[in-house]
Amino acid sequence: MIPSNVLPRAVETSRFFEPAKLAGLEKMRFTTTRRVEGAYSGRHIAKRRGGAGEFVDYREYSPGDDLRRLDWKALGRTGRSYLKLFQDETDLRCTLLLDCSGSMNHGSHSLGTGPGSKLQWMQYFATALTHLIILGRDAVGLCVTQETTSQTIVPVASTRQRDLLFQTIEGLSANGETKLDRSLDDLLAQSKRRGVLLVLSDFIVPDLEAVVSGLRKFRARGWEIITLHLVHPEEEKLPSGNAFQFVDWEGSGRVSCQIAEVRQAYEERFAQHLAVTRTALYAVGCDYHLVRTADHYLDVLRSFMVLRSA
Amino acid sequence: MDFINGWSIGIGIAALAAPIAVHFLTKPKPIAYSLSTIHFLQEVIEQRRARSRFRDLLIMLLRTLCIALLAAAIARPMLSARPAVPIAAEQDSLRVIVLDVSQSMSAGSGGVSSWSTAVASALQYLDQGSGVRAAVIFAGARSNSVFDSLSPNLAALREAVKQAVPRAERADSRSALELAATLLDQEESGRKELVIISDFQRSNWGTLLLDLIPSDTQVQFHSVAPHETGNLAVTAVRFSMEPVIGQATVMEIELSNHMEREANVRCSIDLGVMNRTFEAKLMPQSTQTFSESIVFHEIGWKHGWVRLENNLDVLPEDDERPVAIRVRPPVKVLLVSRQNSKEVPSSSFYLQQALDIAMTVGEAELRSDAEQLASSVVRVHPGRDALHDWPPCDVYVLDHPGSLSAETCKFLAAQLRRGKGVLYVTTELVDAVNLKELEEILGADFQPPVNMVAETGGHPRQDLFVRQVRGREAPFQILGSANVTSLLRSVRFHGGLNTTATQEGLKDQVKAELSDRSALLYCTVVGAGQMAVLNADLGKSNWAVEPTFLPVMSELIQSLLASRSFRDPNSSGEPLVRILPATANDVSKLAGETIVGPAPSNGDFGQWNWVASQNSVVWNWQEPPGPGIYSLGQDGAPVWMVATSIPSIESELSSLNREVLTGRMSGGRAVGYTSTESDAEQDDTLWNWLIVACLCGLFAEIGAAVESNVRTLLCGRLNRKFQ
Repeated sequence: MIPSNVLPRAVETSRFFEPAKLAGLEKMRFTTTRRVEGAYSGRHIAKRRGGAGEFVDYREYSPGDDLRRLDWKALGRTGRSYLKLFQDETDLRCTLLLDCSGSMNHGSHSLGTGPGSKLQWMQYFATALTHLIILGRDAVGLCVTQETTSQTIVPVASTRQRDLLFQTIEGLSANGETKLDRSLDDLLAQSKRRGVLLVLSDFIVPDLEAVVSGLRKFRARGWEIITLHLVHPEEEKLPSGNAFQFVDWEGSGRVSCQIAEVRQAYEERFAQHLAVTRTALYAVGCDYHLVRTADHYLDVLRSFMVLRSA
Repeated sequence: MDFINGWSIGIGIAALAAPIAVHFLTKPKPIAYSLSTIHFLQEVIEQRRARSRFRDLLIMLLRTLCIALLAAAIARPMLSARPAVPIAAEQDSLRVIVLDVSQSMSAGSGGVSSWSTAVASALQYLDQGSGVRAAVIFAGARSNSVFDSLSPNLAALREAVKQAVPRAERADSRSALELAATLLDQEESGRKELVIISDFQRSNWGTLLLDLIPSDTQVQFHSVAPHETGNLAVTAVRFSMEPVIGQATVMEIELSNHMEREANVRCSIDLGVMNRTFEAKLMPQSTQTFSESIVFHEIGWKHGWVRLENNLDVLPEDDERPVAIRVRPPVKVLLVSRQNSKEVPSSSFYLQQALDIAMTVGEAELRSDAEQLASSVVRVHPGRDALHDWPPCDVYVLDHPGSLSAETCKFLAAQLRRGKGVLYVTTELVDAVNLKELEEILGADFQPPVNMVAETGGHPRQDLFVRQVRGREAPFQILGSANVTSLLRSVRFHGGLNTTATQEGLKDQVKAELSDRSALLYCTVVGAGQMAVLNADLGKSNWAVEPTFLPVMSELIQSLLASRSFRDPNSSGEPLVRILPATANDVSKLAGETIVGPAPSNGDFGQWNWVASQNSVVWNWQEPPGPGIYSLGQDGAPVWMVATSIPSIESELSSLNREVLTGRMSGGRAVGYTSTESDAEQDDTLWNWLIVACLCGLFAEIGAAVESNVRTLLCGRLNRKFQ
């Protein structure tokens, strides 16, 4: 965990930050359907009900309750003692878990005018989302998962934090194998308070069950988990051509084949992968979103924010 | 197994390496491409790899098979049984080639005839071979060999084959095989081979038997039968009777359609003095006879042609047929009788009256002709009139002639042999003696169905009636077959002689039988003429005054003339024998002449000699050419004319098939059969289609490979561009 105050001051802009395009989204708030546990007062419904905020209910007095919240007027009229309950509002702590394994590079060498790599798409999306969350005065942190290391930035709601995240996100590179399960465990161990975990990954992992197990621990701790499953078009449909020698992004594996021979079977296999992933994440209680990188990140972000704002 | 193009096998074996090389060289060059989901692909490929390898191997095998089949198709393996006689002669072979030179061999279409194919095949069989001796027999009406024995001079034989042409004659397969057997029998050592090259017409070769051929001879049938056998032909031209000046004569033209469809034909008749054209529709596979009534107004020989106009078929040579016919003056009858011409009634009186009327009817249209000025029935007395004073006539009627001298009998016999008719009315025992005398002179030429015998006592020949009559035959046919018995019921016959049947004669020749089972009338052929014997005394019978007498006598005279009426044109190449008329009496002055058609080789018109037994000059021509018209003249005037034509059987081009030749015709021996037309053509078609299929397969493969390479190239460039 890197404390944000020890980090160098970040540059204010990023090549992935497009403020003009995000202007239309800045009035939308990233929120959550669940109650959150924040440190400061904010706009999100807190889990606890305290003496400030909006009145929501009465409760009979029990010995030990704070007498400051006793409804004296009701006691005078009815002779019964009731406590007035108020809904606290707090800030949101959102942690972005970015998958930077080698497979996220897919699309960087696309044939023709493709949408770019998944990593690029993810950088654009994460930058924009970070901006919007910070703009909503909520705390946002970052966890970058790579083969050997995991970089975590604790959630903070400040413009300095935003610049730091912008710089971090801009400097991301994808390589190595995915260790998403290990990163989840590390992140869980480092997180003191619950919040929202937003996972951006292609979920091309050797062991999906381990990832799901890691997510399940977060859910057990009361985290809200949002998963964005990134899929590149050329993963769904193999490139057109005759014979290819495919090289693994995350290893040294090489496979030569003629596309026509395997196209159909591959597409069936990939569809099966999508279905298995979606089912597993839903089963954990994650909010699952399948995102095709062929779609513009702003369109996806707008849809995402509409759902979140509701 | 033999191959026609064996060289292609070597090329094919070398070419087999091509698909294998192509298989490995045309494997597409893969484009390097990074993929995040490679382990999905690996899972898929693991399942598919075995199937893909099998498919690749199968494709390579199919390509190899395609090349092999292509080479085999070009090589053309001969799948049929090995021929009994190989085309290339082995050493010390004794080879006899029978080459059909009949007219049907010139049939063909599209510029290719059976003959040209046969010559090419014969030349192949006569190709050079060390120690080979061969002979070539041309099978026509008279088969002949180039050399008298097998010769090693194959070059001369080939030259003889090249010089040969089809003849307008039939093929005598029997004589050709006899000649072949003779040539082969002369040799003792060596491999004996007989090759028969022909179209194997059913009509010529249907009776082929190989029993004459030495058993150690290898026999090969080589068929050059044309694929197209549809043919139209004029197969015969006949006259119902010898034309008489001024009298209508029916000319019968026989047209044959040997096609599978109807044919409309236009036939022209050109006889010089008369030209006519008629159109007809011929049914498929049929022979139809068309009649034309013709009246000639001049005496003498007439000649011309009957032709099918604008007929394009496979054998144009049989589309025309020559005609030569003699128009003769009206029939003259000589009545030989010792009876007084003024004795009335008498048998000869009735006969003369009936003959006068019968002859007058036929001459009604020719009263202006000078020839008709003389009376048609002349009466002579054999005792008073010398034989050399008897006027020339066509029919001799003898009634009560008394005892004829030997000279007279010989004269009558000679006249009969020349084609004259004789009606003998027998009433007396001396007539039986005269007939016996004639029978002895004529010998085997005269075989009467009954013998006349003397009247036996107790049974006088009177009041006899007709017991049995052949109403469907001349001369009673004119009375109508249904009414003849009733019409003759009232007739009573007297006189005549008893008869006994002979063993040699034919019972059918007895035209009518009397109630005592004796013959009333019989007709028989004697030499070129006809003889009729009427066994009754007309003076005592009542038949002469019955209405049936005159038509029967008239018909009887006509039937006596029928045998000399007309001869069908002689087939060219067939021996020709003609008894010349009495006007041809000086052999030294006779000379042959070609009127129309090919001239005979060396001007040989055959031989004409005086034959004492025939009492006339006989023209003998062994090999008349044809088709054409040839005459034998004396002092510039034609004495006899003959038209030679293609035998009608040559027009029927259907041939014997392989099964018949190798089965029934082989006589149990193993024979070979090859064909240049039907089977070979069918085989060619199959092989050609196989070549086309192989080429199409290869081109498709090449196209697919090119397309794949182009696609790989483009993808590679795009990949490099975006990397």
